[in-house]
Amino acid sequence: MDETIAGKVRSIVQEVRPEIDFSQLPVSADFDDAGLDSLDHASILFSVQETYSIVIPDDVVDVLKSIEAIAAFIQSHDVGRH
Amino acid sequence: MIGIRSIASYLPPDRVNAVERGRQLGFDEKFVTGKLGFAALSRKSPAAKTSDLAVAAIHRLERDRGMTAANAKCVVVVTQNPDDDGLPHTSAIVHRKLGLSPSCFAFDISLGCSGYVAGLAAVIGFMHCAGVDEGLLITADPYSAIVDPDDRNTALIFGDAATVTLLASDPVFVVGNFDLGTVGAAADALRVADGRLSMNGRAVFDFAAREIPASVERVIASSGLTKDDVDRFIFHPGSRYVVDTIARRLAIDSPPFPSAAYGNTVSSSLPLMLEELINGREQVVLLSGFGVGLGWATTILRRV
Repeated sequence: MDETIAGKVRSIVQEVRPEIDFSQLPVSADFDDAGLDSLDHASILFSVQETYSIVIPDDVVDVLKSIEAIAAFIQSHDVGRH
Repeated sequence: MIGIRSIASYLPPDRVNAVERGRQLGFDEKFVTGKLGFAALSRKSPAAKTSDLAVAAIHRLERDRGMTAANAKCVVVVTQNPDDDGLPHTSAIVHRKLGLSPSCFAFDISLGCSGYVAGLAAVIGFMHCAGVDEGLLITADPYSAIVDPDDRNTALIFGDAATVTLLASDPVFVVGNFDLGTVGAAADALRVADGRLSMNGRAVFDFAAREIPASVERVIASSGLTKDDVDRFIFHPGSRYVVDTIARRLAIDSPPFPSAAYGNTVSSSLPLMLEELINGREQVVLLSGFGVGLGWATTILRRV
């Protein structure tokens, strides 16, 4: 997993829910267990799409529920460092 | 100059307790009231038709606002839940129930949450072209007829209501400029199939977060204004979360959310909120409706 991408995803998560400290959230932690709801999830994916100029199709949304999963998805599109 | 002369509304008295219903569907109260934003959802009686809601709003226009509907030369209903099967059009049924003059032309507009603002553009344009100086723009789109009460995506959002806006040549607010658009590629994100509404919430959220702040910025710029000149922003209350998101992206304070008490009433949402301002001090009001289509319609109102 690319640490730079994961760090950026973590910062997006933090922006979506600033009242919760996500600095120690394990990258593999499920968003549901981290106190994030479905609207937070939609907002996180929206920001990821904007940040990396990618489209996240509906059929992968349900598996993009952790920092690690999102970072891997971004990396698979070879846009993480752009 | 034709513009908004008066507004009246009808909210059916029955309510669904959204917190309780949310609990039954597996949502906690914080999510229902804090994120979706609705504590209660207005419900028409099962027997009431769309035209009944519209007529009730017009009666309030006459009784509470001291206006008369009889002088209108057009009556327009914005709805996607018309009476019966939609033929005849609901506006013609309203026309009959009110006993309006044969010289009053009736037509429907098939739009959802962008329908009020788009309806202002369409009806004012019609009135200019037809040489008409008084018209009625009605919104009445009772989603209780199409929402599955067990659908977690839609069951805790929509309320029933109707509004009527009297458009006349001695207005309180003049209307325009406009910014309107459609992303037809995402049309299936809100659709009815087999009589039931389905919603791809993420697609609608993406659409609203991407398109509405940009639309607001465009209409403000084309009007020669800045955000500081706008006394009140009124965004369609798809949910409190989407309104807060739009406000945050525009770097403005999140506006009031009165729909918490009755729900997202589709095309009636904006005029319900605007009705409260009609006698207020706000000089410049921005309205933005968005949803079905997926489409948006944004405009600026200026007090005369």
